[in-house]
Amino acid sequence: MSVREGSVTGLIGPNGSGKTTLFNVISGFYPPDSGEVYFMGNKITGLNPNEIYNLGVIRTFQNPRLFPRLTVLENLLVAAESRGERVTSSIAKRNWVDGEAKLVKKAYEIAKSVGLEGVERNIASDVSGAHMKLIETARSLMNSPKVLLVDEPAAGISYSAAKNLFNYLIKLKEDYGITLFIIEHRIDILMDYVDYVYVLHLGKLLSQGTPEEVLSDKKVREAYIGD
Amino acid sequence: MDIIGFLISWITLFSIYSILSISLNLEAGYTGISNFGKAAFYGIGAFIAAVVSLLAFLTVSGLSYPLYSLETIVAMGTLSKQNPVLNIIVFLFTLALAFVISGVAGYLVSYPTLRVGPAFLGITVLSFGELLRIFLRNFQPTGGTYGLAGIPHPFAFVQDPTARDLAFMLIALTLLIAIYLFSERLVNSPYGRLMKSVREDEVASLCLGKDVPKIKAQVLFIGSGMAGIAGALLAYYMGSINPDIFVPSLTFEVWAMVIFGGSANNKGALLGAGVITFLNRASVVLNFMFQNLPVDVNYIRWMLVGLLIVATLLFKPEGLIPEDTRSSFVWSLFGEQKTVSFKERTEEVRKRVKLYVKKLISWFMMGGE
Repeated sequence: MSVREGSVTGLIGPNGSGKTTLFNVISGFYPPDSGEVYFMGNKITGLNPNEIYNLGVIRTFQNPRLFPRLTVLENLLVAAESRGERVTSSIAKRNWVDGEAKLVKKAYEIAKSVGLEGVERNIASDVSGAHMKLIETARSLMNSPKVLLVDEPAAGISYSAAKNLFNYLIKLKEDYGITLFIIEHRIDILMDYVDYVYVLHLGKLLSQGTPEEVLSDKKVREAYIGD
Repeated sequence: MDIIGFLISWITLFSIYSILSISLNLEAGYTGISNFGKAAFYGIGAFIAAVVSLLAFLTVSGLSYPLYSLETIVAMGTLSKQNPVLNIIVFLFTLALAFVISGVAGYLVSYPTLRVGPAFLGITVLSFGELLRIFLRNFQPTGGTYGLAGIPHPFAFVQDPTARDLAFMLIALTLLIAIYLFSERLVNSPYGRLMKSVREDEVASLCLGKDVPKIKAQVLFIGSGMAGIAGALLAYYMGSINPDIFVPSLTFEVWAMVIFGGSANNKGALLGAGVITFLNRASVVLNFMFQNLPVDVNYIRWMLVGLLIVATLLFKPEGLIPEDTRSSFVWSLFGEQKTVSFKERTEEVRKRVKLYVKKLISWFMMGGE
């Protein structure tokens, strides 16, 4: 499997087909049983998740893993890299205060564009489930990603919000040249946006191609509907 | 009753214990590291101070008594009063040394468990502390169970005992203030946010590019180092130490301070230390005043500490001064901080007190359920 730079690639498949497991392997959470992962020509299998993140391969979680007792804004800020995150430079405020102000501005912009306006100051555990999903996505944008591994961004949010979110992701892709690799169960929404789709079934690659090719593939229909 | 003496001893102990509770708060309250071995690093600091200061004085005077011998104690009585400069230099040097060695010990002991969950670390440092204590009980060069005595007070050259204790109290208090300000700066910076993110969700933090094991190691180094400083202060204050001071119950006394005062809030750590050291000192005085009581006041103190923890967990699990998640430094960057007038604040406190009294009464009415 390969994801072309600058493309929007979808990953679909029935429940339990191994989509999230694939993301876990790419992002360094699980070691692969076999095979290797390459990013821009470099092998990244065996690196720690934080090292992979800092290369620009950033994932989101299907069930949002927020920092519940931090504010929404702080949740976004953790994802960015600040000079004040070193013990030595954190002590003197002048070391990090300017950078921090820029990050806060960036966080506000991202929050606004994904639809989190007005909840920035709330505690993350107090916001609605749909907002949590949006925070999860917004957080992944804080550190200028190269590849975004987005795990079910539209699950649990309304149709129009999902559309907005996808439009925003596509816009980001165009503005910053981010490559998108998206797991999504809501194929109706996904198919409008992707260039290429992989279909997994029971841990095996079942089909691949453009959205039209995949949707007309008989094997895919069988795997989903089961006849 | 000697009020001045009582206050001096209370404030000195308060300073020492506050350093401990602030260090535990950095680890447990902010970073979510359950350090059950605080006493070990406290003890390391105390023994470093005792051994190094005794060695320094004996070496400078060209004496070669064993550290724990009676000759040493007798010799130290005169030696410690002769050279004020030496007293101060040795004192400052051992404080720094206690910080570094306790810090490194904290880092090394926790190293194997940094990559796994908090429970492993807690148990590892707890057992390390006990092993160290049992080892020191049987280690003759530091006096075994008797420990070391004759530790030179940094102000031993001052004649008046009250003035001497007052000077020491001021030093301890200054160190506490320095450590408090340092911790406040640390937790109100992006690094503090990082610490909290580790506490909230290690995996998510790792996923956002943060080197979680490194952060934990740094916090443990700082926290254990601070405990080392507290230990060194204790050694100089008491003048003699033995391994059995550093039992696990001491660790849990510090935990009680953090739980009672409020975790992830340095002011809470100070409050907890203040109340519990007050009970500690008061029980000593009461024990002395009422010698014919059927029970030892010290036992009542332990019961009170236990009661405090149970009551806190029942009525205010987040502690008396809970973490203020909304007071993040980020807002202060924009001048958006809300100012609360004194009247509003007293109104708030009044309401809260009323609520707790009500809760307490209803709890008793329900038969303590």
